[in-house]
Order: sequence, then structure tokens, then C-alpha cells
Amino acid sequence: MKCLVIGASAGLGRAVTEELAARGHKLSIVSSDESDLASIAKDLKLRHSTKVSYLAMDLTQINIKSFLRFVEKSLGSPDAIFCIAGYSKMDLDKGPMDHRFIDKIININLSAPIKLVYSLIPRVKKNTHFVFAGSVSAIRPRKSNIVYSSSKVALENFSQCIRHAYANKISSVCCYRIGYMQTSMLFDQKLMLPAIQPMDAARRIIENIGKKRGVVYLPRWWRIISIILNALPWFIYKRLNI
Amino acid sequence: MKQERDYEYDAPIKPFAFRSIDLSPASQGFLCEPDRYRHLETSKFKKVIPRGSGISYVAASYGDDVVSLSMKHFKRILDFSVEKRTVTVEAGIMIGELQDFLLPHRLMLPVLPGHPQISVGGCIACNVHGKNTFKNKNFCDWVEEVTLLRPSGAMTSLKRKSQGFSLTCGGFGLTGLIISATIKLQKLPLRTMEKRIFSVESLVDTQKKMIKISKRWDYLISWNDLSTSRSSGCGYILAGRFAKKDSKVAMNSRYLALDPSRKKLRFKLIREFSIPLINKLYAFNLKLRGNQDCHFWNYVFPQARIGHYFDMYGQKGFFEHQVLIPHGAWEEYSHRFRLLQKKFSVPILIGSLKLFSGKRKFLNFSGNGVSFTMNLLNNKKTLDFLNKVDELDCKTKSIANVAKDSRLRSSIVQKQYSEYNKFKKNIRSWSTDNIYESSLSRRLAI
Repeated sequence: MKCLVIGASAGLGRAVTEELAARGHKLSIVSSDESDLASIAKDLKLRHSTKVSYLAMDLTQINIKSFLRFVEKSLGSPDAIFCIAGYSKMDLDKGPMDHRFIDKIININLSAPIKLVYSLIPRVKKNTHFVFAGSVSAIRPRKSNIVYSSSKVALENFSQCIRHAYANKISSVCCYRIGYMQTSMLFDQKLMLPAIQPMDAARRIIENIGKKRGVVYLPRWWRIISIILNALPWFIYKRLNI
Repeated sequence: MKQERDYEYDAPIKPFAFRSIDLSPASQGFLCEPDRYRHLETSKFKKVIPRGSGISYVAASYGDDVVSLSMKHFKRILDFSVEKRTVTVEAGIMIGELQDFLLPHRLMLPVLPGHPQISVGGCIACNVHGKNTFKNKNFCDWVEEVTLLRPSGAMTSLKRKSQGFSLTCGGFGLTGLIISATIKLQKLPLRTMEKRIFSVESLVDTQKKMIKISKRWDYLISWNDLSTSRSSGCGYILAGRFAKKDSKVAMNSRYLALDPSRKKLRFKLIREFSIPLINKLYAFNLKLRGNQDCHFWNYVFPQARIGHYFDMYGQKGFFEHQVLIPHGAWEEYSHRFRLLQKKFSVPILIGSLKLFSGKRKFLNFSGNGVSFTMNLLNNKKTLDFLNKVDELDCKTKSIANVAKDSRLRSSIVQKQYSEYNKFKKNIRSWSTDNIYESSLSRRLAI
């Protein structure tokens, strides 16, 4: 399989990249930092003999032309596209915050994936799979991580719109509502529930490729949490500190 | 202490209660786990210290109000040449993982400490040793180049002959953040290890027999029964070498990760009365299995199978004392040591010898002689005993391992290490802004 991973240098994106390489897939990776990408490419080549092409691109300042040139040159038409990049400012995102952070969150989590996916759709074949990294923050609007969860809700919605709009053109579109994960995003947070390892999440995501699902909880037990949260009456929900 | 943060680019930091493997007093510092290169800026911190796997016996990778900069996400292999027999890796890679990568290429790290979880950066910062020090010396003797992030933010490439290189090797992370290292490798003759045990009658007998058989064996370590002051010090030499033929030996690379922060049982299994029993059981096990061939991986990482060993000392932990005694002084040392043990009536769970060869340099645990390791219960009686052992170490011109003993005082280290002042002076002139600090460096007044 020829795979494109957007947001590959750290956390879940890096884990997905490593897992794909271990399974022998051809890879093209995109992230903001060239030195990380170069190290990952060298490492995967030595460990798994996988050729990894990379493009350093800041998702707040995307260049569609160079992106498409890179994809065309390295993969031709990708079989699987993983939109994993994400950004949050958990400690600030609880109310009005600096506009540059709002722009950055919206750009990385929503605008850039939309633009990049739209630019790829005319160029992909019928058997292409799209994977989006959403968040359990999309379950029900809440008072913490306001802009981040809003962007993830919008991304999830976009993924399902694409799924519907291109039902006959694209093989599968899947958006994962990812629960707590042990990445730098949650490193300094006190969590109420157990967090999964990025590598375990990556394995699940790759094993699910091709399964015709829309929105998937990762880990699965978050579906139960989702049912509980959605069932709570407003007068109780508004008191929750989540 | 509140750390200044640039909210746009910084890796997250959290307050953290650090412990060492021997459970010496905790330090309240900050843990930072960067996962990309641009987060590896140390200059913004007031006090910082690099951290590998965080499993050192002493507080080498943390300190009160110090930011512990973990390298756990920097574990990539950057270059590898079978022909040149070299590998370049990021500092956070664990030696077990690296050895796993090298095995199919029939190569090995020439010096391997006993646990696979130790990071390459940690191996360099403490210039660790294995069970073949009499042949291959210490870890840094095989390091060709180190890339260091200086406090100024500049990346420096240090070659073997540079001053920064010798300061960084065994420099306890005080020269800067080790980003990557190039290591010379050795050919792995076969994956099967031939093991033999040789019985010994006393500590003195152990050293003599070890020297005698050292030419025929690749790895040597002893176990001596010192569980009570009446024990004779008898035991076994555990010798290992590469077998002449590969046999079907299974590799079991699964292990329980060491975690000093893991909650310990209130009940401790290792007590004064249980130590002789544990030693007897261990001797029985050695007699039963000591001569069985095994896989190279399982031979070089014996501690991988005893993940709960450190937990068995309970919440107070233990003391490890490791000392390198010149060959000529060993007989006198062992005699006086046994007298001290008798006087203080201290039980020793693990008593072990290794042969060493190499040069003494700065605060490195290296040189010629015999290394004597002991694990003891953490109590007042042991502390008094070890204080006397420190005096004995000084008298016999021996050096205690700074990276193993969390109670060693600066005054003792100054007496034992002739290059202590030179090391301190060089570290100060190398790192003029003096931001690298740990509980260990504070205790040793470096």
C-alpha cells in the first residue's frame, strides 16, 4: 500500500508511520520539522528497509502546489491518506485566548486537512482510504478545550460529508474519536480515565483500514462513556468539570 | 519554582516526584518529555539535567527544582554500517532495543550492562561496564563520536580526542544534552552462549581463579555467599563464552520494565532473616542451571528476568556499594572487609566480583583491578558499616562507583578520585552558565 501520513513527526502520527513501515508499506510523510522527519526516514529505512519520502511543511502556511508535487513524485496516487496532525493549547483553551492560538488550532486541526484532502480527491483512485484523527471531545460540547473540540467536531463532520459526497469515488473514510492517549498533548494533564499508548492506537487504525465505518471510538469503551455523557440531563452535565 | 514557558513552542512540563532504583530520598522536580527536536532547548531553564530511562541507582537524572529533560522519544537509529561495524543512534534508545536490531546482522554492542532498559545516553553519561570489562573495558571505550546540545543551543560534534568528549563520557550529563552517538560494534560469533560455573571457596580464591580462567572466557562474574558474617564467601564463578556451535536456544526478550515510581509493597521480602535463605536458593538454582547454554540476549541481560527484585526491598529500598580494588590490595581488602562485616553483623544479599582493565579517568569507574559489588538493606546499621567500608576503600586506594552508591559523600569521592578537582574545574569551564545540575552533582559538590 502507498500511504501518506500528515502530521508524522510525533505522537499518534509517528506511531502510525512506524507501524506502516513495519508492515512494509511505502510511505510519504508530512510534518513541520525537517530534522524530525529526516531522523524518522533514516530510522525506518534501517529498521524496516522501507523507503520514506518526506516533506517539511508548516500546516499553518500550506503550499498546495509543492504538496501535490511531493505526493505525485513520491507516491503517484496514494492508497491510504492519514490526517493525524493535531494541535491544542489545553492550558489556555478555556475561554478567550490570543488570536494566534485560535488561528493555529483551527488551521492545523481543520483548515489544512480540508484543503489538503480537497486537493488530493481529484487525483486519487477508487480504492483509496481516508483516515482522520478526531477526538472524544466531539462527544458533547464542554467547557474545556473549547476551540480544539470545536475544530475536531468540524473535522469529524467534514470527514463524514466527504464519505457521503464521494461514496462512489473513495473506498472508505473513517474518523476516529480518539480517547486519552499518552502523547505530549496530555502529558501534563490529570486524567480521569486510562490513556492508551499511541502504538496500540496505531495498530488498531491500520488493522481497520478498508472497513466501511464512519466514526469509530478508540478505544472502544469510550462509546459507553459517550452514551453516558449524552444521556446526562443538562442540569447535571453543566456541573461536570470536564 | 515556576518554570518560564513559551506557550507556542515548548514541550509540556509537569511537577514530578523522582525516585532512584535504590529508593534513596525522593526529589521534587519537573519532568519534561520533548518529542521533537525543536523542543530540545535547554537554555530557557534555570536548572536542567538530561534523563535517559530514569533508572539509575543514584539521583543522576533529577534534582529538587531541576527540569529533568527526558530523551525517551529520541530513540531512532540514524546510521548503520555492517562493513564499518558502526551504528549511530539517538541517545534515548535502550540498549536492549539496539541489540535486538543488531542481532540479525550478527553484531553486538561490545559492552552491555545488565539491564536492557538502560539508554545509550545513560550508558555514556555513566560510562557503564558489563561482565567483560577485563576484555572490552567500559562502554565509552567503544564510542567514536557524540553529538551534544550545549546550553547555548548549539549542537557540537565531539570526536574521541576532544576535551569535551572525555568530559561527556562519564560526565553524568553535566556537559550538555547528548543527542546522538556513534558506537563501534563487534562481530557476534554465535547467538548461543556456553555457560559454566566454577566453585570457589572464598573471596580471595574467587579473584585468583577468575584471573586464571580469564583468557578462556569472554564474560566473568562471581556470586559469593556473604549473607552472614559467618559465611565463608564461597560461591561460584559464572563464566560465559560464545559456543562453538549454534544450538536451539530460545531468546526471551520480554521483561518487566523498571520503574522507581511504581508503588512498593508495604511488606518487604528481603529481610535480615530471609537473606541467608535467598542465597541458599540462589546457589541451588545456579548449581541446577548454571551449566546450561542460553541465548546471548538472555545471558547479557540477566537483570531483565528479575524486574521485581528491587521492589522486594520494600519502601525503604536498599544500598548498593561497588568498589574497584587494585589487584595487589584485594587480599588485604577482603580480609579487612570480612572483619568489618563480622563487627557490624551486616547481612549482604548479593556479593559479586568482576575483573576490570582500563585507565582511570575523572570520575569514571574504570581502571585495573577487581570490582566488588554488594547489595544491602537500608538501615542505620548498614549505614555505619558502609561508612567504615568507605574508609577501607580510601586506605586501599580503591574507588567506589559514584553511579551506584547514593550515599557516597563528596569528601570520600575527593579522597578516592585523584582527578576529582580536575573534573570539577573542567566541567565548570565547559559549562560556564552552569545550568546542568542534579541531586548527584549537588551531593558530590561538582
